Amino acid sequence: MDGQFEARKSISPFRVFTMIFRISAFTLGGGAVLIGIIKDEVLRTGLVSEEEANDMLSLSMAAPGAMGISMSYEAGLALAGIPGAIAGVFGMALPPFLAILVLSGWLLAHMGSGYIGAFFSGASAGLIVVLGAIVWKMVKKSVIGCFRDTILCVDVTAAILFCKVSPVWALIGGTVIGVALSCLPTVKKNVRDQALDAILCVAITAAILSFNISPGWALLCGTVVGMVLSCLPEGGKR
Amino acid sequence: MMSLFTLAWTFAKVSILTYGGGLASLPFLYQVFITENHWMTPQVFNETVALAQMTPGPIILNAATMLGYRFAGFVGSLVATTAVIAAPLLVVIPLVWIFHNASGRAKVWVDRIRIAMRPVVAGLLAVALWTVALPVFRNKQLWPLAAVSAGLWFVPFMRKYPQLLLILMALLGVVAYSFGVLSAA
Repeated sequence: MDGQFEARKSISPFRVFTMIFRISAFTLGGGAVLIGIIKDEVLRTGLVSEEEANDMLSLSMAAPGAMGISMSYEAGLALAGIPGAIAGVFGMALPPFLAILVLSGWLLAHMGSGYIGAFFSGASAGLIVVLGAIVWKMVKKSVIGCFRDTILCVDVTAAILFCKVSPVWALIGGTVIGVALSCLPTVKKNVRDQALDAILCVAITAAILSFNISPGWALLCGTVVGMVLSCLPEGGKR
Repeated sequence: MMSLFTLAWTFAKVSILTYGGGLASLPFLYQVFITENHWMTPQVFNETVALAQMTPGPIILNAATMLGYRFAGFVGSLVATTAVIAAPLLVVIPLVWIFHNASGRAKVWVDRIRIAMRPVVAGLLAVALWTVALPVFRNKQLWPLAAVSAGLWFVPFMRKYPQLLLILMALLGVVAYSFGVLSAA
């Protein structure tokens, strides 16, 4: 969290470049999985705390444009300072650039081939597992165990999927609600309450998905219920 | 056909105005290239998109490289790619700086936003997963492949290099297709 990059251990910009280049060149399946894999690799260097890595992920999703570029910039900056950031961005941008220039002729000629379609169908079957693990890690780390956050997370997902709220508004709205909630007094919770929270969260998701409750209302009610619950003293344990 | 400056400007605009990554930017690209400017036919556009999805890296970057090439050759693809990269960086660089250098009262707020953003980002990731998972769930032929990849996830090496898992599954898809158990998507 400190700005003193010089004071920390770092790796060489070239290693940042090769790391990001490898990820960019061999990861099929787009932005979300790309930034998740970068996060894992950054963590594996041991130079960045998990908290910091999660912040990188949040920022790259919050910024407009290609998430991979933002993520590489941040990862490079954290691992090797400004040269690292430059190396990271180049490492991310170069593989797709080269791939298009070199491969586009061949791919265009074979576009109709079923083999290419099957190649990407197979990849998508693998993608749900890889991306699922990434999402689960993020959810486990920052959502489970806190009722408010669970509600917020479910609300955002529901708002985008079912209300067709644009992701940018979901992000801004969700963050504003989260900040507003964090200004309220917090209540320490015991394990039993957390379990209860988890059940409630599942119930709300199920309500939206299976009983066709209007997601707009679910969003509103979920947030209000979450706010009220988080303000209540729980069984005298403040 | 069009000046390099227009090219750079257009792609910078598209890059900064698209949000949520990848496929979300395509309708907007379509509007700019076809509806507004008539720079290409819908068929060429579809071809570009299909190709962008097949090559590694962010889709918008692929599209920029390819469309830039069509418009102005190698220089064009260089210019378009640079524009696509530069635009989000102009937003991220100050954001990161603020996150790292905030102090005092500002720090309190930055921390609040940081923490509030996490569940929201988890929600956005869940949406990304949903978008990817839906076509797989709808295609029964892909279920065994999904099961295999879930099994492979227990191999530590695969966890360490998830790209390997993706490529392995893609090759398995090709094998399945050549044996006739998987029809082309």
